[in-house]
Amino acid sequence: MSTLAPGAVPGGGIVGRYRELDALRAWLDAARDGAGRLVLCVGEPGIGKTRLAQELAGVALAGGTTVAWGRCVEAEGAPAFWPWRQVLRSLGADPDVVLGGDVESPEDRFRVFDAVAEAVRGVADTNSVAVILDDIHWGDEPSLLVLRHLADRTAGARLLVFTAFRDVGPAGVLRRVLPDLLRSPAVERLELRGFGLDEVREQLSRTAVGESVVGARAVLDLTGGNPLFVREVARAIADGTWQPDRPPRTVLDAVAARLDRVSVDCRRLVQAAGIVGRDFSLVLVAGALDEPVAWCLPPVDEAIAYGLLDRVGDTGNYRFVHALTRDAVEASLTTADRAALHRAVAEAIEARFAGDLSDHLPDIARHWASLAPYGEAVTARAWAIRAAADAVRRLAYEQGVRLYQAALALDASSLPDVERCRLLVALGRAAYFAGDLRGCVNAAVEAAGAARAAQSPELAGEAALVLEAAPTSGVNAVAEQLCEQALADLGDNDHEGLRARLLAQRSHLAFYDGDQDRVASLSVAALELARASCDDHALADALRARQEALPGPAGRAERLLLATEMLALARRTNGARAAMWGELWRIDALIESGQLAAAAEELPALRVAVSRVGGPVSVWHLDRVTACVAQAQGRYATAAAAGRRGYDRMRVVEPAPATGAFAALQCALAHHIGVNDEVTALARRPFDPPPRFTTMAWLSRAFLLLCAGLPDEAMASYQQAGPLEMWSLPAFFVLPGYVYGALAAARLGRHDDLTVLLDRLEQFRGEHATGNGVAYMGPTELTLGRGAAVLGRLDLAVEDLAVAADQADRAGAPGYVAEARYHLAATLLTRDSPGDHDRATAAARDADRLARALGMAAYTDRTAALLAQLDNKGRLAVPLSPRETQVAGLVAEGLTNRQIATRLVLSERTAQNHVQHILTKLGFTTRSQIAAWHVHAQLSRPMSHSADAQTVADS
Amino acid sequence: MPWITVATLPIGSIDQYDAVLAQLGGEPDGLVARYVGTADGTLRVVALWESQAHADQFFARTLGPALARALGPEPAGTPELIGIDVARSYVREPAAGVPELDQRR
Repeated sequence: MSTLAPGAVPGGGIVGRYRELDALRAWLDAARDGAGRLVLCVGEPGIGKTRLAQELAGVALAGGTTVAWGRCVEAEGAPAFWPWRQVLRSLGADPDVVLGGDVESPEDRFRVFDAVAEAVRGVADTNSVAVILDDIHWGDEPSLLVLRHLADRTAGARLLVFTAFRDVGPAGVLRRVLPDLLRSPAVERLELRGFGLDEVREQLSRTAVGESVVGARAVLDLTGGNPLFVREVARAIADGTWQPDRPPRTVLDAVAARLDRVSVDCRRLVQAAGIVGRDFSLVLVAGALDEPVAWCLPPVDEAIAYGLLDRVGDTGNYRFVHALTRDAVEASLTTADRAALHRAVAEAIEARFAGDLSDHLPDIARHWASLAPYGEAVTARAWAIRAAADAVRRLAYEQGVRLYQAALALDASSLPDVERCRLLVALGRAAYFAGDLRGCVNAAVEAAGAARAAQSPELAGEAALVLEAAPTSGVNAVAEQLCEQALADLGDNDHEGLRARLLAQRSHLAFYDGDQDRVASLSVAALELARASCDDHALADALRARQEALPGPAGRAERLLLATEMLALARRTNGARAAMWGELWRIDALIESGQLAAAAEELPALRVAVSRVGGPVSVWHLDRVTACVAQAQGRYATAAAAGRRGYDRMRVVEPAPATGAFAALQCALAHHIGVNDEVTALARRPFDPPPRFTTMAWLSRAFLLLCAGLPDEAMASYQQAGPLEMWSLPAFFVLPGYVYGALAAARLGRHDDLTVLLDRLEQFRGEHATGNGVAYMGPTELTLGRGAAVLGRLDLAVEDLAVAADQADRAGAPGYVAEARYHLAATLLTRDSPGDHDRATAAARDADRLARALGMAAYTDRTAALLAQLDNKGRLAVPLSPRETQVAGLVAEGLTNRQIATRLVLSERTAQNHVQHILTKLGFTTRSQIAAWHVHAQLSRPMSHSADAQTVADS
Repeated sequence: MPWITVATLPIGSIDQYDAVLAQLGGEPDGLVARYVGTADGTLRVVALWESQAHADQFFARTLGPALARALGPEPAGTPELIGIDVARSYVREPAAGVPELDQRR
């Protein structure tokens, strides 16, 4: 039987690290139970991060957990998403499928991030998974962004993500991503430190010579307890390279000394391998050395025996035992040998993978770049450009930027202006997709200069369009200038498509500046040119520009036509994105015109288009309109779920629209179904909307805080919006902005503002308050009626509220029917003209029935109270017979039909009939509604003024 | 209570399995019997334990470090581990003329 201590194995087991392994075991156990973890393991080179990861992998496998590895490589020659490609392949997924797809905007890359995260989580759904990402300090930016994306989704998954990185000067990319990783919900940090004396002694004891030659204390002093260095010293002692009078100062020294002892062939092989990289295939090294593979076998075995290499699997792949080992080997080469090997390796890769170089382009470019100072700049540039284009195609924009920049820097004086301009355009686009706006602007400006030098107005146009859709004001000024210059250079003849795109771009820039008049004129010109050009790309751009030019109800009819034209373009070109925009515009317009059923019928077509486009942004569009339609139709649970789903998707991509849309939906929902703690927290959370949405944000927040019963905070928010004449609302938000403002002003007693706002809302009679398909706030007359009631204009209020109820009914918005009828009933009760009481009673009953059927928690108590109040005034709102009133009281006591029958000495059947009649007369469906009604009837009290004024008093 | 484990581990061959066993340095506590073979190209290990606690101890504390050493620099794969609480058992008494199972590991 075994006498081993727990966790220890003889011979090669890990030395020390008991605390770290205990922690890892605990996190692994938690991950197996669905409480995933992201572990950030940090330490200096050689400290044992990879060794610890191996131990974790063994423990995970022994417990039935799937393990996948992804290793970032030191050299800049790895394909895009390299560590994730390894992980996906290991998990049985096809990396090309998961990482593939077209991209038209920077946000589209999130589709890929999502796809990777979902692929990993999908495996974790069936079996717990440990993903080990080694050396992420060398990770490319897209790979680290995937990690950041997955980190937020780890907490609830059966997933442990272990990452290892050096703490000494982490690369720029990791430094940018690390704060986000540290903020992720299930993060654990594991800092590895050097060995103590006991561990050094244990490590030495595992070698043949043990501690007899050199004391553990001396080794600890020499190495600082760095485990790799300790092992190298132990190995040096064992193999006889140890010189007490000249001990190695670093791991590199120790490896270099050992390299001196290997055979010539072994050194030759290892040096060639060192140029290939830390991981290498023997076939490739053989090719670079121009030797048969069989020749390589003895030296490779020798290198393994000398502790320089490890064998990886049984497929002819090998790895240097540590990155520092490879560094030491490369350092042993002369400049001439290194250059010769770079050339030999580059040519060997080109020859070996001639059929499909795409996975190897960055690597080939890296080798040729090393040769550029020695007369190979032109070849190096050609490979760099090829690799850059491929990197962008694979969504590795940062790598594309780096490679384009490298290409531009290679012997710049020999680059013709036209080629230079094209390279700068490509660089600018890559920078834009990488989110590097400054790099994008600089490239565009330089490209425009190169285009002028090349006397090519067409290229100047392309340079101007590099800055497409950049909403930052600093970019806008440059983009506007480039567009104007390019249009001037192009003249009025030819190039209609390019000119249309430039005009659409200028229109778009004006839209971001809030200059709606210029948007109108520029978009018309763009669309006319685009239609004449027969250029589908230009037409799509121009249609979008024109759509932006037509906000609010006045532009709705033309927007519907644009939607039809966009859908026709989508059919002609089989364009998924065009189909998506066409459907979205149509649905938005239908919601605005109160055709909710028609809007709902369009959703399946939108879903198809969105699924073709893919990515979180397009799915967010689907979620937001699905939520909006459901909210308008009174399907609150569906609306809440879709809104939440969309918000969760979008907030990591574009926080501002995600938050704005979510807040607007919460306002509309809170208005009818009340608020929970999360919504209250949302209303109180600090926010920083884009400048042109500031007024809208303060008004919607004031409204939401009122719904949450926080009038003081609501007042503060309302005041933050500033004096009414200073309000600035985007054209498409004017109507819903006034509605928020009017309803908030009504409930906050700001009657002067309310009066002005009602005047402004007059122009929107017959319209429905909604903006950009994120939330529906009912017919304009509803706000007009509620406002008039607060101002004591009761006749007008009654008229508008009755109209509003009918409009909402025609729109298919039952929640707003209930709201309108409730306020109508309350207003009638206040007015108390002849016939008003009966009319009020009917309206209140209707409102109460609808509110209960829809689950409008914000209204059910109010409608019941209103009914009870009507009842209390001595004019029975509900014609229950005395016997039925008696039975209702017993129902409220919780009695069953049989108990009621016994109490009243009736047959059970008769008691049941009484209950059924009560239900019918009150418009109820459950006994609990009867009970609630009865209680309210008992507790009701007189009501004064309007329902809104009462709400203020209540709050 | 006897306990049976059926483990499918990412071990490519019997030789590699032997390398894992060599890392263990001895048979684990509570192991009664073990049978190893390949089905559908996958190595499976069936073991009988004195108790579930013995098996749990082995898989949680002992096997992992051995796999870490024996499966190369990046131990990876999709293992499966099934535990069976033995409710009924039958072991034939050794009889003359019936060969014992080979004692190969």
